[in-house]
Amino acid sequence: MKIREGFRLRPLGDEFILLAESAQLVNFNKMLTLNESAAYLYNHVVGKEFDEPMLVQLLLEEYEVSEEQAAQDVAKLVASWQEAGILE
Amino acid sequence: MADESPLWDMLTNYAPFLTEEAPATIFDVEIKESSESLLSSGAEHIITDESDDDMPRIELYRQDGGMLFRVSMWREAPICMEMLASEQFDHALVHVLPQERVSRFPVDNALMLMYAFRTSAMKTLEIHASVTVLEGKAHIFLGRSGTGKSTHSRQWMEHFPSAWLLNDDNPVVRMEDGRAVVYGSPWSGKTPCYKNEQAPIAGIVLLKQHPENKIRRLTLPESYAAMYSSCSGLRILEKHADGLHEAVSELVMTVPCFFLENLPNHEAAELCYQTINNH
Repeated sequence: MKIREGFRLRPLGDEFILLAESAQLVNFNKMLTLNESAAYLYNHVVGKEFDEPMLVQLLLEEYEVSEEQAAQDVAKLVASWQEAGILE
Repeated sequence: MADESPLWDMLTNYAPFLTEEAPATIFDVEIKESSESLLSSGAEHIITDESDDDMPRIELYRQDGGMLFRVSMWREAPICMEMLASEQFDHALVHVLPQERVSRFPVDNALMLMYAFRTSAMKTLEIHASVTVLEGKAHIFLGRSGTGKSTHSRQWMEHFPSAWLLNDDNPVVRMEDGRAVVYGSPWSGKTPCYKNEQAPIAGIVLLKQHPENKIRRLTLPESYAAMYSSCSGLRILEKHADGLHEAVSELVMTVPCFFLENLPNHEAAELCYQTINNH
């Protein structure tokens, strides 16, 4: 999977928001809120082909978290990205 | 614009904002009444905004190193104005096309677009809202077209005798040294309310019609989303998107934002006032 082109991740307080800022996404009127770890993952895979195991590995490299917990968090995150329509 | 143009007499909405001497010119616009199109064969179509039935339809092109706008009053209407703006939005040539019934809409629309785009990097937001001032503080009401922004302002003015309308459609919000301030403008929708006045902002309220009155504070991302969808800007140009983000994020971190589900009555105004001023 891949993140669709045309989004921009911007800081807002302690969190991050993902905005559609391109002509091809003019009808995308949702806004996603990402916490710090989700933003970390986003920044590492944006523009690339990726899968869930890659995201789990990235989490394990950066955060002190069990593999099981990381896999659960990643599954939830990917499901929310899918639902929001930011993946292709 | 030509001296003899009948449009001059219609542009009384700008009179309160005239100054003897401008401190600095932020942009200039040359307006011609002409049936000649400004669109050239080399123009690259970027986007057509016709998302909202009640809003003007705008075609946007890149042309001659700047941006070309072609505007209709609504989706099915003929094009009534074309504007070729410089890349920095500091200069524009506007053609007002012959209209069935002469109105000031094309001129207002051209100047609004220029103002919004020229100032987006100046922590200045042209927003779609109704603004009522009470006790020296501004209360900004947001919502999609038809959600009762003007109606809610009217409830305030009926309920609080000293409340007054600053603008009913397109006020200007600025961040000034950490303070959020709202200004009247020459553009106010159907309500002729062109006030050269300003007030600090007490609160921002997103409105929705509902069978009962209830209000809650919006979270930071919710506040951002409400403001983001209420301000004009060309987000497909990176510099503009950056400027809008800076202004909107600073604004929603400075001013409390609320969600008011409401009936068109005085109780809604009272609930809104109490909540904003006792938060």
